[in-house]
Amino acid sequence: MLEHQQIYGPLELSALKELFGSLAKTVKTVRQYPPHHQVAAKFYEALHERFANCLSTIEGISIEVSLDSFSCCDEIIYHSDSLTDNIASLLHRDGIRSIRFSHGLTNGEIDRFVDLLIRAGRDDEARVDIVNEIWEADLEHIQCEVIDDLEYGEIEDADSLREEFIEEGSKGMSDSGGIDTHLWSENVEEDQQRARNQEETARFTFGGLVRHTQADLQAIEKLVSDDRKRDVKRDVINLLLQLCAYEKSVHDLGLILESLQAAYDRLIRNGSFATLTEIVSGIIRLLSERNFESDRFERRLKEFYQRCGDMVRIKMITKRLNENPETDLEPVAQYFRLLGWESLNNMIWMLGELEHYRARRVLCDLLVEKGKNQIQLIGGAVYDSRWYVVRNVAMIIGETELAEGVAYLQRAARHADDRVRIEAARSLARIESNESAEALIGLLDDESERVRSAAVNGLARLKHSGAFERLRDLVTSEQFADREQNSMRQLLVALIRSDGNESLDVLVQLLKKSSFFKRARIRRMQEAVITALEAADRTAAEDILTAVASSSDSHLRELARKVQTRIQSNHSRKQALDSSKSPTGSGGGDQ
Amino acid sequence: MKIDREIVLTPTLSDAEEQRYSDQGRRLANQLAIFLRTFKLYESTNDNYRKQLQLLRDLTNDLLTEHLEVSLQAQSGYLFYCSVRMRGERTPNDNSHYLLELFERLGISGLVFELGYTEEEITRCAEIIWRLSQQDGTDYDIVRVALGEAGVSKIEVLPPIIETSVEMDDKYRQRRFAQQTFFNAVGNLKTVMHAIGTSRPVSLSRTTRVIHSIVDQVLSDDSYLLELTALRDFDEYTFVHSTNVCIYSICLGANLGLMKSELSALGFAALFHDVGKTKLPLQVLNKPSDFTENEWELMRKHPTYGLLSIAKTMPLDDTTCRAMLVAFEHHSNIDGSGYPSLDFKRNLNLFSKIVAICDVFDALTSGRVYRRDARSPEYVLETMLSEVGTKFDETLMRVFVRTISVYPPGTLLLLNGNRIALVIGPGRDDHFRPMVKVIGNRKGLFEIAEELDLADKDDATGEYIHQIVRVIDPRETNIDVSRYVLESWHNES
Repeated sequence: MLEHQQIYGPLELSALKELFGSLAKTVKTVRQYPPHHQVAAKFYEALHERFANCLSTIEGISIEVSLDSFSCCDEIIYHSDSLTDNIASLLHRDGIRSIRFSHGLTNGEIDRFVDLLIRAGRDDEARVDIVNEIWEADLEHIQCEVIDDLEYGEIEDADSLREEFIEEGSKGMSDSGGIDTHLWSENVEEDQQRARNQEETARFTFGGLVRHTQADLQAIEKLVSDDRKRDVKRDVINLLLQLCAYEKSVHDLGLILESLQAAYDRLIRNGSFATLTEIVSGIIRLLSERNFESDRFERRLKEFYQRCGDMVRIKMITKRLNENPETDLEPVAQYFRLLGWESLNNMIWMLGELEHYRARRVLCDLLVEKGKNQIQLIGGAVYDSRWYVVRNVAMIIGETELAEGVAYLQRAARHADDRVRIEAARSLARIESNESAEALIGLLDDESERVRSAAVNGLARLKHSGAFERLRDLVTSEQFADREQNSMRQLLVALIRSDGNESLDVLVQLLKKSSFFKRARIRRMQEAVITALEAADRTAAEDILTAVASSSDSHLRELARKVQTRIQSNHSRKQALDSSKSPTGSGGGDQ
Repeated sequence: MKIDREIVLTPTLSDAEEQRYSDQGRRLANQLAIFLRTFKLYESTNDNYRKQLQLLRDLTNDLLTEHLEVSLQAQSGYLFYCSVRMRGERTPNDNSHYLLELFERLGISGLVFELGYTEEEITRCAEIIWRLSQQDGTDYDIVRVALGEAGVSKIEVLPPIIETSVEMDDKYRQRRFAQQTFFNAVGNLKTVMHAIGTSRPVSLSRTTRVIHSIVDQVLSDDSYLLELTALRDFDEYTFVHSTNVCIYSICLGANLGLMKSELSALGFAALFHDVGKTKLPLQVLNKPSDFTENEWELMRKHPTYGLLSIAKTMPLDDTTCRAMLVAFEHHSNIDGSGYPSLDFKRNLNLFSKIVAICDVFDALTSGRVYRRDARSPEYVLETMLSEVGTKFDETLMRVFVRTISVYPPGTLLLLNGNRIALVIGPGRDDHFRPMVKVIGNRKGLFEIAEELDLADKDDATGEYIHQIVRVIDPRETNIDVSRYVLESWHNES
């Protein structure tokens, strides 16, 4: 056991309790937040301070580690029953039984130690445990004591191996008896001469090697520094790919690919997407560049490539991304980009399984890219039983802006879930075609107000002549006045936005409309027209409203004036805002 | 008597203090031995004798100004001065060995001089020692009683030490720890290689701990581990060879100034450099005769199999990637020759170049299953040096020679005076004069070997005391080296 340098008093024990409580909280917090998040930074800062305070009053901190606690002088200073956040068990399970933090402990060493605790046990397949990692981190002021039983429990007993060596070494050998040899010399002079010869020969052969020369030192430095620049992981990947490229035996190619596959799957589990991308790129390059003497070579490589995006791998990637929301997604995107059309369905499946928005967004962007060439594959997913998948697919189709996508969006627009129909409306608005305008008009009668609203907005956004014509036909139809006033207003706004100039003529026509039998409904429609004018160009709207304001209908007159006032006030507000934004706006520059 | 009669270690001594004690002890042992030998040859009135007596008295009086009493005591073949083991102090011809043999004949473990002993007392003591050493059956009690009856009160004899009751000193512990690490490495490697051979995933954290332990020991003092590379076991050839290559590589890497974590990665790569052999049929691996061309073709595949085995069974991190490259490249020469032969050019990894050197050296010096005739390290190094620039990197080869010295651990030497010695580590100052264990002479092998520094010089003439007559092959003499390498284990078990 590491020796305690002193007995701690109550105050010191209390400080140690706070210190290790702080360590546990820091580990827990940093697991939840990105490393540079301000919350995590505050915890680090507090921990640094506590370590510094403790080490200023205590000559080294020695703690005993048990399964669920840290103790000091038989006093428990940290305890946890948690299965997930117990830092004592993280250390104990790999055999650490005591730790000593000594004077000179730096903040860098503390941060590294916290980092090791955070990463401990995350990767079941890791080559190293926390004991190895602490050693490799070379933390000068943190020493651990590790039990031997755990270390060597499963391997062949050293004692029995030693016996084996002694037995093996002694086979046919002399024990302590005389040595039957021709070695002995009776002549001291002759002995001396042979010794001199031996020394001279050795010094002649090796004499120049016994000391480092300046040239040696420079050569060593170059060897080592050149080697440190190497990316060994890339070297290995390139080597495996080169072996694939030059292998002449199908059997041996199979062996190479088998190993590559095992490594590949492990890389997915580790989230090494940059390396995975290199492998897939390499395989694609091989497939395009190599002249295969036998179809079997090509088939093997193609099979490998297809496995990169098969359901097994896609599920593994999904799991990895769900468990590690902080994953760098750029290489993930590159990886997806390299997968073939065969993987599209699996990627769409994945779309419904990804738990974190960032990853979903990346996948959607990729599917948009891929969807441009494979819209039928993407579109087919509108039949997926999961509403959220259909919603995402609707969004992806919209972002492709391909007219071929409208048919799938029409299907999505009939989905039972209104969240899907809303997304369909938004996506239809991105595709300029008569069919999409038609589909949006169809949604104007949707049972859901939110869907209708999305359809109106969609139509407003759709800069397509078909949309204007369909809206014009709608608002000039006899049935238009039968709609709810708000619905009428929304459609009129959509009409104005789809084509400003022509729409004003239509609005003027509507204001001129009269009917004895439908007087009340016509008036409600005209009210909607007047209020919709707020969305029109200010000058043109002013002209129309001025005309209405001088009409004989006092109700409409009053309403037109109110709208005029609102337009004016909106305009003034906008001007004031613009002038405050300009560099000279608020500084009296006009003077 | 104030002294503790058992050797009590003084672990708080610094290196410098330990060295100072060691030097004082060496001077005392030399002078006492010379005095006793002179007593044997001359009358007490002889000038020569008088001179040696005076020198001894001067020296002890000088030493007694620092200590109330000074002791010389033998234990496990070593001499201890005032409870501190003397460094590099035992050879068949030197004064320390003379004392060790004398004490053994008398059945005592040593002598204690107290402040104020007289000329008469030392003379009487010498007479008794000389007389009783000629008699059979002398033991501690006989000598003690004889001294008491002669009125010698300020020079006492120490009782024999029961070995098991004596604490190990630091070097013993280090040697033992090195052996433990070595066997753990071999044992662990067997387990892991078996798993890899059957393509099962392996747990490597324990292997990594063993390697860390090797790195720590090499950085502390590489001689204890280097000494163990002399062990041979043809049944476990691959594991022992791989462990040796691991030790050599880490030692070489340490001399290149690699960082701890890099040494760990290097050790890992070296340990698994032959992992591809697990994929070869045992009848080929263990074939006692030369290989056929087909068998050679298979053997030439083991680097590729090594790369693939590691890729298949281990996680892909920088350390395992290094191991893959080393497994693949360790038979590739720097001029592009070697195997596997490739249709594309590669720049060899530094670790591969290091392991290639260590691999060839260990293989040629230890012999293999298919060629058991081991070559002498001196011969192998000379041959390897002739291949720099084609097979081996010149700089690394030079550093390797410096690392293991011209006479690497495990080398058997014939010394002047017909003594056989086993090299246990590089010399302190002179690469041509290593640390050795003298394990026998023409009368036979010693039960317990004695350590000796071949760089020791005669104080009077300034000449080297010991000379290397030649390097000898263990098989030439049928000497079982392992018993001497594992000697400390024997002593402590």
